[in-house]
Formats: sequence, structure tokens, C-alpha cells
Amino acid sequence: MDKPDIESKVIAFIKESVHQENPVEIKGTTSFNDLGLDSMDVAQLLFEAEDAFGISFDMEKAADIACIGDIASYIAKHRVAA
Amino acid sequence: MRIVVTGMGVISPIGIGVDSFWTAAVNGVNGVRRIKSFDASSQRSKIAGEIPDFEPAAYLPVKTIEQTDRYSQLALSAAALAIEDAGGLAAYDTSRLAVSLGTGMGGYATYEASAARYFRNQSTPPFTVPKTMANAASAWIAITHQCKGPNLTFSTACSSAGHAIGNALQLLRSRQADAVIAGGSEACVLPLTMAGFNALRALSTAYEDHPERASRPFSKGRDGFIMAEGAGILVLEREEDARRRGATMHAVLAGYGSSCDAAHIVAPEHDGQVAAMGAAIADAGVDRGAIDYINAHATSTPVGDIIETQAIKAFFGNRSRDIAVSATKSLFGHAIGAAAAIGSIATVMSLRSGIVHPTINFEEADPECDLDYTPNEARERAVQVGLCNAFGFGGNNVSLVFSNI
Repeated sequence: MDKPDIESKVIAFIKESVHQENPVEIKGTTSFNDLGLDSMDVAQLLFEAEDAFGISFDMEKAADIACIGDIASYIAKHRVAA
Repeated sequence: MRIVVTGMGVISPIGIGVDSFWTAAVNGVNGVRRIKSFDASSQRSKIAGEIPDFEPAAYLPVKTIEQTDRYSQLALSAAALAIEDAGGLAAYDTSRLAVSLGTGMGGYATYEASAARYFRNQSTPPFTVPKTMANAASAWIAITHQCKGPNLTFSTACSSAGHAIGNALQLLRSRQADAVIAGGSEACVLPLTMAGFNALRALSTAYEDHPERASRPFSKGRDGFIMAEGAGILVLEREEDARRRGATMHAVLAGYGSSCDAAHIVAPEHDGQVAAMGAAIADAGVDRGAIDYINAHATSTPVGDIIETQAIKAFFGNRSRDIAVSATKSLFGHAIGAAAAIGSIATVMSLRSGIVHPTINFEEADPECDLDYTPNEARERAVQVGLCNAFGFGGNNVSLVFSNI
């Protein structure tokens, strides 16, 4: 699966998982800040993404994740091929 | 100075909201059923008082629901009902609003689920600690209603809410707060928790096929308590402030007494219970002859109900059979850290309505339990002063005195 494909799946996952009071359009460049998520919300989101995408987030490498595109890149890099 | 109850909210297995709860109580409705929330087929006791129709979304925003254990959701929802009943707390500065809550287990559903993941080598949910911690509910009430005064949580097993309400009385008398949201919440109808109480042989197992008959305080054939979940919240203020803002006053919280058996880690003793009742009545400044109703702790255990009966007889002497007693736990089981709050609400409703709710499932009296337990049918009685008892594991005893306005 290539990155744009993963990215669209991540966007779908975010739309389902993040309850937005004032919804914004979600793209690859959308940041956690844009979504109104604090650090605990991000930790919870990545925890749920682990189950959804069959990956495990390494705490140190995951610290650089700041936007949707970063999540998709991480998954593309670390996902075990099905 | 008198401290008054200006709001009440309850979420229980027999009704959500004071009106539903009290109507069900007076009608002797049963709330004990086969457990539905998890597969209890391997448990010794498969029945409990679960709340069948609680919808957190009716009271709480989505984000709050995601970040809270059920025990906090019950507390928050009961608090919302109580504050609405009190007409809101806008009359007070936020720094003068306090929260005083009781819970035996805290966010235990989260604990059990996260522990299961950990021991299966799965990752730990980030909200494990904030959801599990015993002070989560009181913190969330403060966040939701902007209560910036003292924020306290009491964990004294089955007497937790009693201590929380007693502490609220003291906060108001000492003017550390102007209004206190006080009560208790428990949501521990859960696999490990049930297994733990079953291993102690504390729960009833003889009525699995007839759960509606299982919770039978003071009755022959009782064989242990029934686990339940629920939350009860009172809003308490000084009378002068309640009058000034035009609040409806339901009753006076007149006294609080507390003691420890210092005897056994789970079995009760009657001296400590006598001491707690005596201390509450002395604190209320009433004569023991003034008590006309006791909302008993009465869990339906073979030993506990006898000890409480003996304590009442020791303290009230010849008058004890003139006092109306009823066991709220007969209706839906034992909500542990919430029990004393729900019992307090039943006591206040007796004062207001002049009706004592029945102790149901009273089929044949235990010869050692020979007081007037208001068996099976509600009774009219002009209750002026009521006592609410809560006696927890660890010999932790509380009594509260409520009187008519």
C-alpha cells in the first residue's frame, strides 16, 4: 500500500476517532493543533491507531509526529506487509 | 447555623432522577437481575443491581465520556441533576464551591481492562491513570461546574459517601466553602471485583434463579449482599445563604458521627456502630428519642444485619421498636461507595413525603432481627428526624442525621 493510500485511510480514521466541535477539513498537512488536540489526546489517538493499523508506535520516533501526513509516513515505514 | 440540602440527584438501578428513584422505592420495585454487562457465567454470583438505561450522552459531552470511567460518568450525571434541582450555583463565587465525594473502588472498570491488556502484553491506554484514580470523579465535577474550592475524595469502602457528606457539613460549618457538591459513586459490577467479593464469600449465591428475591436484609434465608452500581449527589449550603438566594430547602443535615471498630478487617462489631450513631445524634444536638426513622446499612449479610440490629437496640433501648427502619439495599443491592448517598436521599425523601419505603423480600423474620423493618409495604409516617447508617469494611462507621426544615 502506498503513502497516499495510507494517508486517505488515516484521514478516515481521524474523522471517525476525533470528535470535532468545529470541524475542519482534514488533509495531510492538518496538525494536531488544527484538530484542537492536546498532548494527552494525541497519545490516545496514536494508541487507537496502533490497533486500527496493526503497528506499534516507538515513543521516541513518534515524538516527531505533528500532523496527519507524519502518521501516514510512520505507518508506511513501519507497517509489516500483510 | 443550620446546613441544608438544596439539591439531590441520583442514578440507580431502580430509577434515574429522584422522582423515578423514590416512586420505585415506595413501590418496592426490585432492581436486581442477571448480570448483562459482562459474561458472568463463571462467577459464583451472577446477579447484580446494574443500571439498565444509563446514557452518558444525555448528560455529558463526547470528549468527557471518552476521558472518564463509568464511575465518573455516573457521578457527573448525578451532580448535573442535583445542581439543576438546586437551581444552579451561580450565586456563589467559584472559589467558594467545594466537591466532597466518596468511592470504594474508583475507576475500576478502566483498571481491570488496562490490567488485562498489560498481562496479555498489549499496550497500555494513555488514559489508564486519569480514569482509574479515585479522585477522578470529584475532579471532573470541579472541571465541569467550575468548583475551585476544596476538592476531596473519601475512600472508606461501604461508608465512603457518608464520610463525604459529613465532611461537606464540616466545610460549611467552618466556612471553608459556601456550597458543597457531596455524595458518592460506584461502578464496580465487574469481573475481577465480583470474583474478589465472591472469594470472600460476601455475595449472595442462593438466589441465582430468582435474583428479585436475593437482596433480603433482616430476613431468614439471606446469604450475602448483592453488588450494585449507582451515584447519589446532594447540594449542601448554609441555611442563611440558601434563603438569601431563594433556594428550595429539602431538609437539614443536622449531624455527622464517625468511628472505627478497630476489631476486624471485614467483620463488623456493634460497639463502633453504637458510637457512630451516638456521635451523630450528639453532633445534631437532638435527643435520641427524637429519631423516628433509620435508613439502615442493612446489606443482607447473615452477620451484618444482626450486628446492626443489636447496635440499634443497645443505643435506643426500649424505644427501638418504635422506630421505623428500612433497608434501601433490599431494593437493588449494595452500591458500595455510593450507598450512603443514595440512603441519604431516601432519608430526605421520607422526611419530605411522610412515607417510609419498604424493606422488600421480607418473607420470614430472622428471630435475631426483631425491629420494625417496614416489611414489604411502604408506610405513612410523619418522619421529623431520620438517621442514615453506613458501616464499611475495615470497621469504618458513619451515621448522618437529617431533620425536617
